[in-house]
Amino acid sequence: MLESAQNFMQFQFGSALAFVVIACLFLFVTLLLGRLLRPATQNRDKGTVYECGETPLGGGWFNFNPRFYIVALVFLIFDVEVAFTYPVATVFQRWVGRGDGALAFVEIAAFVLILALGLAYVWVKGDLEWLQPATARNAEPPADTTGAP
Amino acid sequence: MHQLHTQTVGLPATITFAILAGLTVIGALFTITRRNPVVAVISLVGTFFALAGVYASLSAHFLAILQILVYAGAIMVLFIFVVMILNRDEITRVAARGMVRRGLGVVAAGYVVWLLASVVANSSATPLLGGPLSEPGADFGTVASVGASLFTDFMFPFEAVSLLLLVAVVGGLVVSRSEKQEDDAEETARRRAQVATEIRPESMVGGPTDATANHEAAHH
Amino acid sequence: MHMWETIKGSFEYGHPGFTGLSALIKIVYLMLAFGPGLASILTWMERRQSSLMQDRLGPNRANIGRFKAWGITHFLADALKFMVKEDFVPVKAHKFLFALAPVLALAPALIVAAIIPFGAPLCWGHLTEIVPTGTCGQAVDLQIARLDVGILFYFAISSLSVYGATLAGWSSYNKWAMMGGLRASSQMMSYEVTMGMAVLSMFLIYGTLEPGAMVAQQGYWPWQWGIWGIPTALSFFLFLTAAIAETKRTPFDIPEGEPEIIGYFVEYSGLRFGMFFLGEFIEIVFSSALMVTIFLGGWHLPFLDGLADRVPNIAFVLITHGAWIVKVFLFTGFQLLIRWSLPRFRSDQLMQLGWQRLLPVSIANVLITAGWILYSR
Repeated sequence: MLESAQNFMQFQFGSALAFVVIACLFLFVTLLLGRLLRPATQNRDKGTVYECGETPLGGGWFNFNPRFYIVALVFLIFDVEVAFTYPVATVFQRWVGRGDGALAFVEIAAFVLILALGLAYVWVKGDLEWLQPATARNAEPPADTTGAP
Repeated sequence: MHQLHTQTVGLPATITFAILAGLTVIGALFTITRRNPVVAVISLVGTFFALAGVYASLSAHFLAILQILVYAGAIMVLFIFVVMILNRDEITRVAARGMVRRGLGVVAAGYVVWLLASVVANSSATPLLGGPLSEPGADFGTVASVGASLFTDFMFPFEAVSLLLLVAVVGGLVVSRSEKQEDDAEETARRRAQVATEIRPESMVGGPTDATANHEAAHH
Repeated sequence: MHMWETIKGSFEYGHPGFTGLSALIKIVYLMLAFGPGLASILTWMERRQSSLMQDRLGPNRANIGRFKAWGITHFLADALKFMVKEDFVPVKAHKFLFALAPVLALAPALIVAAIIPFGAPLCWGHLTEIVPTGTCGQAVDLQIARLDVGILFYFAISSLSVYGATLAGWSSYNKWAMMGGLRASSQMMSYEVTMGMAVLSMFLIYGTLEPGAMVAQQGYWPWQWGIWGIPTALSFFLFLTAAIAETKRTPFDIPEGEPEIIGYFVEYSGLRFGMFFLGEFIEIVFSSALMVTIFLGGWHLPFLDGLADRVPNIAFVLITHGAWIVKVFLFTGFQLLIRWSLPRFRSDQLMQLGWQRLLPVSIANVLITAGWILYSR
């Protein structure tokens, strides 16, 4: 059954898939077991959300700062970069052994440096500064009001 | 590919394929039928995961992992953030209404189906037509073979990808920043007006107004 | 009688029944026994260790009859409490996603274990004989999946755990939870990139992504391990920092920020909270196991070269598995020690450290390693 390399790989992936299925089954069975064991006496007060003991004000879904979105965006770019460089990294040794190391090095370096340029751009433009927009906004007007009396 | 599988790997592979393909389709259906966009995005994550399983069963292991790493793990997180940045009311407004929009959607979907069908029909190696299929090589779909081809045949596209990603990061940030700056400008103007009213002696109560102003600023 | 022979035949080495059953045993062992077991003990150990460090008593009185053992059975009491505690769900919560989030947080933490080799290969049919390394014809790998994509599988699956935190925060309909979920997801994303770039230099050296092959390349002596060397030691440091940040523990516990926002799981109680809680420790266990595999020689027992040529195969397998457990355990203990030794970062410092310190250094490290390999040939 496991004679060819392809079948071997298929079997290994099958094991990983089996792991995924068993992990999910295990968790769902545990949750089901918990549901059978625990008491359920829900009332209105238990159904409120926790806001330090106060009655919750307003909705729970607020408009958050777009910087979280920017982090996700930059992450996506670098995630793709990592995914692309891994296969190249694994064959690098072979190419060095064959004497084509310089070419391989230039290829990897060019790829990584172009993306480092992207990081530099984000950095210089201040999108990695976590606190900047909020502090700039907060600091300005209250200074006028408190200074008045 | 179907026939190949039943010949070499047998029944388990066929059953696995059927389950994974079924999950892919169910996830896709959920994606387009759920009203809540977050549930729709999560369904799409499930679709991608099952699709990665299909890729793996076709010996495209590296592609399968990329499908999870990039699509399910990164792009969909961005989707979730976009959906969460919008409010729930805004989200329900986004849903397509009216005959014109729906008609356009049907036309677009029909075009995609037609395109796919024509590709499948014209390809010589389609399972539907029972065309010739060769057994994948021993290193097909492995990381090393992908790496080797990135070093040889696809060296230029590989470097082009890095440039493309650079453009993507710059473009994405420019787009998001122009919105942010508008917000900032709007916010500053509003705050200036507010401060101007607060500075008048009769409204010099201090605390509460400051608190609300800060509160609002923090939530933007 | 004939049918019995057929069934028996399919459970001989190399047949589907045997491979399937051995895979199942390995899965059940790692996922149900080793991972949650060590993680549960860690939940007790963390509280006990912190109390020792802070001159307190800590949980010391849970017992089963006379059996007390410094309160180590506390984790059983915890588990029982989680099972029977009432589960509050906020009225306005999104019920489906609220239920799904703990599973999405815990499942990836378990699944990554599939690629980690946890002992020397077992030689089926020659268990009581001495089998020198590499001469076994019927080897059973102590590794669930020898994936060619190896570490990428780890990254792919662990990147999915972002959904657990984000959805827990969003579905609770609670401002604190949402804040925690956002912080958690942005932090995990920031450090995942560093994590990926940090180990890239290791792949340049190993020339493979497959953890089993990495362990095979490392020797018995500590100076043959992955960590030995300038670029690799730096890579280890970067990876360790990023891995701790991924688990969202002090000094990187901004998503929880206990004095202020509690975290994305603020609305969770009972078993579902227990899943987040256990998930954190399982993440520690398997990320430690991964670091042991890449950097610390995997299951190799230090200072005993050629042990495989002297003891029976089954003893060798058990000894190497024991060595692996001890290494993982010590490494998790080290992570607990870090947690109680360092103060917390501010969220801007956290982002700065990830994007503006660790990431540039890890990119430079990749280039330096590549250049070093090129130069040394």
